[in-house]
Amino acid sequence: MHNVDPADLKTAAGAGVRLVGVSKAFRGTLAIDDISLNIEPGSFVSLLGPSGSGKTTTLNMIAGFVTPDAGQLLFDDKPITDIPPHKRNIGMVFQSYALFPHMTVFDNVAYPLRMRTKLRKDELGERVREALQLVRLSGFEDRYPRQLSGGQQQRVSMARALVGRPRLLLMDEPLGALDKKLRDELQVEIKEIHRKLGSTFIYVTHDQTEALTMSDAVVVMRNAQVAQFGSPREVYEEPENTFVASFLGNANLLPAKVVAADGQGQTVRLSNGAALTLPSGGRRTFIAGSDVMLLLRPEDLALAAPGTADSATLNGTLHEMLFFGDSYKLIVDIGSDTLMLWASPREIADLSVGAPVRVAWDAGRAGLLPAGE
Amino acid sequence: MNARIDVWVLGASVVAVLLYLLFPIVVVIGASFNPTTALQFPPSGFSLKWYQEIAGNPDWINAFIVTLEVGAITTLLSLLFGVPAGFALSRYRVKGKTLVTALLLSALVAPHIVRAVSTYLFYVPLGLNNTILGLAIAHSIGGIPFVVINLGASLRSFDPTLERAAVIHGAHPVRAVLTITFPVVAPGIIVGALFAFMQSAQELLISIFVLGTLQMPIAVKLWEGVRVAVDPTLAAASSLLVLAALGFFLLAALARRGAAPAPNA
Repeated sequence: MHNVDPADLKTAAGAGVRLVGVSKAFRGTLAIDDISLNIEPGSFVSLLGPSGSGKTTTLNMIAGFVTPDAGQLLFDDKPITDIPPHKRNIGMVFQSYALFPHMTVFDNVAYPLRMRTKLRKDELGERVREALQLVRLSGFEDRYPRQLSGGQQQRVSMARALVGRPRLLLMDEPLGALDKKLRDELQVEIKEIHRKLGSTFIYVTHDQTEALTMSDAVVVMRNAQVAQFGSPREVYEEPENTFVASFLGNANLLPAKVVAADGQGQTVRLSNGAALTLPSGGRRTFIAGSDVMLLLRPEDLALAAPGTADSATLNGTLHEMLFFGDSYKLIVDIGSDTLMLWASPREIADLSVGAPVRVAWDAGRAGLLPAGE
Repeated sequence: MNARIDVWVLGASVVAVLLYLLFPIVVVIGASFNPTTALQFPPSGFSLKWYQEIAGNPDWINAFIVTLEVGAITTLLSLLFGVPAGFALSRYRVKGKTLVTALLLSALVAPHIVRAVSTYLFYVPLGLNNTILGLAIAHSIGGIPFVVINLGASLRSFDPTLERAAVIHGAHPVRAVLTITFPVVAPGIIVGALFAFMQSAQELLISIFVLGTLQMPIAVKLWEGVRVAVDPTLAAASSLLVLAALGFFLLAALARRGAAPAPNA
């Protein structure tokens, strides 16, 4: 068995996709509210959000199944709003796989080629076998979809989407119906395929880990709008609002008031009276008196070593400790707020619920967000 | 112990119900093998002479041909109207959908004698009485609902994402329906077509009124026979009809199982 030379399948280049002020309403309810996005050619972009946030509608609009009420959709700076889906030259993977039940794996994968090209029979067979090899399903050509497992069906679906070498590939929660182990495996494979092909991938998911691990850029969506668009690190480390902060990963969000802001930094007071000073240079500055939310990621917190200066710690009582094998998850009460952090079994020593604890925080990694979001 | 009694009672009632349902068929088939001219059950012996009688009688052969002709045209017309109607009613928001569906189904519950008389009167000025086509048109009114119902059931379980998958991968919407939707819902259409044919083949009253007595489909020929001379040929012809129906049901069952082979075949 010869190996697929990635160059064989490599597309000319990914397509750039641009949405300019796009809106769509269904029976008076906005599903997409004035969205503008610029998706770089060849990038892997995730549309991430809770259900009903508009991510699937956005994907279906790029596919051409949904016509925008307002705004423009451009591929490589050419408007395509009026081009029907079958002429957009896109590949698409669906959560339900959507394999044609009356066709074999071979015929399923060959379908886009038969619709779009006039390849000779041997060329067609070669292309189908290449695509199946790329998704590691060689030898399954004569099976019917119902004879395959969920993971295998999704691989066929991917081969079908890729075989026509589309410059744009859309994936609508492709791993949503699979169990965790298989999902982790396929995430890696999809990422590899993206690297090999160079097409633009737009990937809808409600799984934040999936979005962070796979993407070059993440579009966090909420209530039909874009809550934030940036690289995985940007949206994780510098969320623009508390929704993004809490949707991606674990976040301790503590209500606070800015009591002083100057060139040295910003000092906030928590509800329990503790005053914390954040160094200047953060993305956001607030004037004194503002109500804000203090963002502390669990990984930027730790049990304070004896002798740590008081200014770098928060005092509280241990409310709960949960054993996770390699670590403990700790819940610490500080006044009316709680903090979540991780600690190694070694650090726990003889700590027990109810004990006073000191939590060290990293001022340089803390963030301030506008309150009320 | 209770469980065993349950099983016994269940088995006994199944057998009883089956005997009750199959009784007329068993009697007819049994009587068709009678060696004497009496229409009696159980038969006094075994003979195939009444089947030979049918095979050698041009009247009976002709009746079978008429039934086939009427049935074939009925099926064709039922498909021609039933398939688009089935699609429209289950795919689109049609105004007055409930009314249209009710009207379609009313053909199934309207008394045949009413349909027979009204069809006859309607056909007089049109000159459609005494024509094969006329009877087929009348029968297709009873055939269309079967196609609409069966296709509708298939379409309800059809995943519309399949059509989207076809379209996004380059198929014109019409081609997507032809290459994906039709093959997937075909079993429903086939079952509907078989039912349309069968209701035509066994229909008596409309056939009597429209075709008169010059050309007789099987059902009418049987009726004539019962009135004129009762002998086991009737039982033999009936048995052949039962056999045909059995074959059709077998075909329908196969169609329902779909075109694809069984898992792990």
